[in-house]
Amino acid sequence: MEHQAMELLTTRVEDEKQNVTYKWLSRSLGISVNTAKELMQVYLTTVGKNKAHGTYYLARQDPATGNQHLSLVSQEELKTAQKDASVVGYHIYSLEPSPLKDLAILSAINSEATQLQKGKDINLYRVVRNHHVVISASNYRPTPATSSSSAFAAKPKAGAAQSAPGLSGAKPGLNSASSAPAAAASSTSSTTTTNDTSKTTTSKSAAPAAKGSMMSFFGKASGAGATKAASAPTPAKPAAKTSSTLNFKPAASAQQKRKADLMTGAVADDMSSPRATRSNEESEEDEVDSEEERDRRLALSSRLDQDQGDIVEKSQNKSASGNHSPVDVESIKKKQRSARLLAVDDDDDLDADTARAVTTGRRGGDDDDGESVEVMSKEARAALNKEKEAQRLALENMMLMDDTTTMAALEDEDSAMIDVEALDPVPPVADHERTTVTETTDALGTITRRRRGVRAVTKRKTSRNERGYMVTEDIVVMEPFSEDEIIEAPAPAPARIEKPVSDAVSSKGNKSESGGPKKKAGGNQSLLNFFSKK
Amino acid sequence: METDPATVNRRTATTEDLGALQENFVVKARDYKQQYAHLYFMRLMLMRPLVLSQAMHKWASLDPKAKHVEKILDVQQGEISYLVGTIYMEMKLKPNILDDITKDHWIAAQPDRPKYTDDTDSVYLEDESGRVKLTGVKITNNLFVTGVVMGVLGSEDTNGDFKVVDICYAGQGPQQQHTLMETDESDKYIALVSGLGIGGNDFKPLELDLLSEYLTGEIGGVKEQTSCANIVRVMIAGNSIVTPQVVEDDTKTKKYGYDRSTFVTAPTMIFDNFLQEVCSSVDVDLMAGDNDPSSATMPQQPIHPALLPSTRQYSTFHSVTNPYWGSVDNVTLLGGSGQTIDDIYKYVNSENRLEMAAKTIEWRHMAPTAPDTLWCYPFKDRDPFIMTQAPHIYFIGNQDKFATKLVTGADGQRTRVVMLPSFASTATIALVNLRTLECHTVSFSTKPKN
Repeated sequence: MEHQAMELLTTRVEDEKQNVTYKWLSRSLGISVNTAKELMQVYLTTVGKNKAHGTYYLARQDPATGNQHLSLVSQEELKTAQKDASVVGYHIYSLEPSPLKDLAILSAINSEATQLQKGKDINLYRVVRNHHVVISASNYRPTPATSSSSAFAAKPKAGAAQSAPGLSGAKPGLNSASSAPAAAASSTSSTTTTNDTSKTTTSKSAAPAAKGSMMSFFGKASGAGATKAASAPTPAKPAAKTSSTLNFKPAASAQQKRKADLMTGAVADDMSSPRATRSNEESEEDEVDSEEERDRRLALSSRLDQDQGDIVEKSQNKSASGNHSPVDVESIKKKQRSARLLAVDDDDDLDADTARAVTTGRRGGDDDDGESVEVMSKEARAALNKEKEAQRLALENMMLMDDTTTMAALEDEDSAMIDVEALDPVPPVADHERTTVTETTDALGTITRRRRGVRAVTKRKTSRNERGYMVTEDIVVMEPFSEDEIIEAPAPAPARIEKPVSDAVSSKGNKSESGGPKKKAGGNQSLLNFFSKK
Repeated sequence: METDPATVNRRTATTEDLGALQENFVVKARDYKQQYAHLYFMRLMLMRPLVLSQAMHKWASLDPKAKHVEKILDVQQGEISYLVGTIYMEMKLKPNILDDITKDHWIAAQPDRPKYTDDTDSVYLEDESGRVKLTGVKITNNLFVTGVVMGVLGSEDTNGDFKVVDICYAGQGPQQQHTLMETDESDKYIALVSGLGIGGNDFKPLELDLLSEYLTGEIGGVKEQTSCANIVRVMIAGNSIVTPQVVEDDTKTKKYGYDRSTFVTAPTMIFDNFLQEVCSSVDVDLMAGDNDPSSATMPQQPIHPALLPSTRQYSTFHSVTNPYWGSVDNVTLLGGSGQTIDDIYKYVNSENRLEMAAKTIEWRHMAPTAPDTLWCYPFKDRDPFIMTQAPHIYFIGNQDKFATKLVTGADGQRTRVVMLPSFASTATIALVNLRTLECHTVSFSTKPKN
């Protein structure tokens, strides 16, 4: 340690001709500040003698008034200053290659030190510790006096200290993100909070409801991981999930329409927060991206919700029973794929979670990021990565495409944004066709029906085997799609008559509509017209 | 060398929410339809009984003939009596709304004066019924500001003016019991900082670094770090950020949206980093000041935590109103960011700001000039600036220099008055001992001594 420090100091001060403060040294080496001061002093007297110049911190106290005066003096002045009777303490503050004219540049080194300490526990360096400091991304907690006047509800401080890291970790990220910007204008439904430890106002219903569904996903995913998460949140999850999904849908469709460049990226931030609940940096990122992030999350989760219903339940049952054999490989892969959708940037954690859920016993190669993850086999990983890329692009394109019409739709009060599917409970049909239908009617009465969802597509994947052989396989991939069709304005009379009928028809449920997209592959607008008019 | 250095745990102190006192400053519904007269009326209604009891105590026994006159208009000529009312200062140089209107028509703009005092000033005493002009030696020698509820003893002379013989104020309010006893452990301190002035012209980044290192206990030897652990709370009294001066350049074409070259976010970010450092170690109460992004009217509302993204995650960070009632270990604190005293300064000839602060305690009102010259929210049902109890520590930020005094009241109340200098110009903070109410400064310097 000492040797390492001397080397570092030599490199920095003599070779690079940079200044060094004790704060910087402590952050660089991860040591306490007092140790850093000692090391610097040793350096100055031994290795760096005559090569470096030291600036000292000097503390004087006026015995009469008790006033303290702290100053920085150069090593030349130190000798004379020490003779002053009022000096109560001194230590080395910084090392420079040559005496400084203006000490203010040391402040830049201190800023660098602050940068270095990001993400680490501050008590590593500090001597004076405060154990009552609670850092939580959800700690946006107005002062008691203003709590009644503030529109934001107070969040409990213990956000970071909850039992389920997966659940609560992601939750604070979302909470802070949603609470930071102004409330979403388009939220409609009343709040169903899924976690009794957090409260949000109705204006944030979309976000918490979204969180609820998101939370349920994460809760189950990490619960299915079985090794990490506590079982506590998971019982709460199923009950909460269904109720929240219902309320969430109308808002979700509205939210889906907002532009988002990369939906998945946002959720990656949330996934990072379980790991870094105490890290401010990543929580900062959450809040910085909050607006878009929330949109992405909501948009994404609505889709995922539809898929995840039985996948997650299945995997949960599996892990609960301890049966890890790859019985339902397909559903597992789907789950992983969806998990990957969420964990674009930070694959590590989530991979570990979902991988553990699978535990096929295969030990695979390394992660894309070069970190080791236990379980994936190489070809599965490669396959998954490719799918992920495809999905990402698909999502991106879809989002971009939707943009122009969505903005108009948002503003248009008269547009009937009926999310037909969302209003009904989603039956647990095979998750091939899980679609949401949104209709917008413009001034002329032209209905633009956009069908969005995730459907199963068979794709051929080629990859290299462990042994170097090329392997080709057909994989069924869940791919999001979005199809438009424009239905000309029907004549008013027939429309009115047919409307109640069409409502009855369209409210039948998923099955009838899910048959629709399949059949209309060839652009059979007439067929859809049949469904819409009647 | 490699041994783990001893660690010190920061001392903790209990804080309590002072309930109504602090709540009063929070403006919930911003309704500007009402007149300011309500504020004056509430002030008079609430303070009159207090002043009256003091006046009776002082004068009722002194002169058996003196009697209290309920309404100012009922004063009889030649009779010795005492009245209670609100002071109104008639000052020629005081900003007047009529002057503003004439300014619209004539371009002559009055320069901003440091003081409104003039030889022709006169003092009136008002209540709901009317007003009377006050004369006398006591009037010319003392400092008065508009808005103080005062009792005067005297008689009306032939001119109709009230010749004053003696005056009295509400005096210091009742004080909470000071419960801190001397213990084996060392005393706890609170640190008072004001006027960090980040982004201003005389902002010194290294001094700010030294301050944060001092407050977090990184700087200094083990002994100093141990004593630093005794600091249980830090109060930042206003003017932390300075908005950069924008020079209107008429040659530049007006651009819509904000002009990126003049608007800078760096001060807020630097402040956020600084606060985060400090909050990671000690509780911080942040008050808004004149230059800070908060309301322009008193009482200033708390700075919104959205401006400080990394700091607000800390449970030790509290954004509070200006003025601010706080309580640490049952020691009551009242703090202001300086606007109240700065405004009183303009009314009086004296330069002694410490004296003015002490006077506000005697008046039992921390901002009497509101709403006359100090912008204030038009409260309808309360006057939050009345000091219903006497604080143990009363600090005012952003003053010209450090000054402190222990004010004692008639019933044994002790209040430590601290005037905090601006850190940007003096690099000085104050530490107050919670038990003894003794106060001393800590100053930082990076320039060579000689």
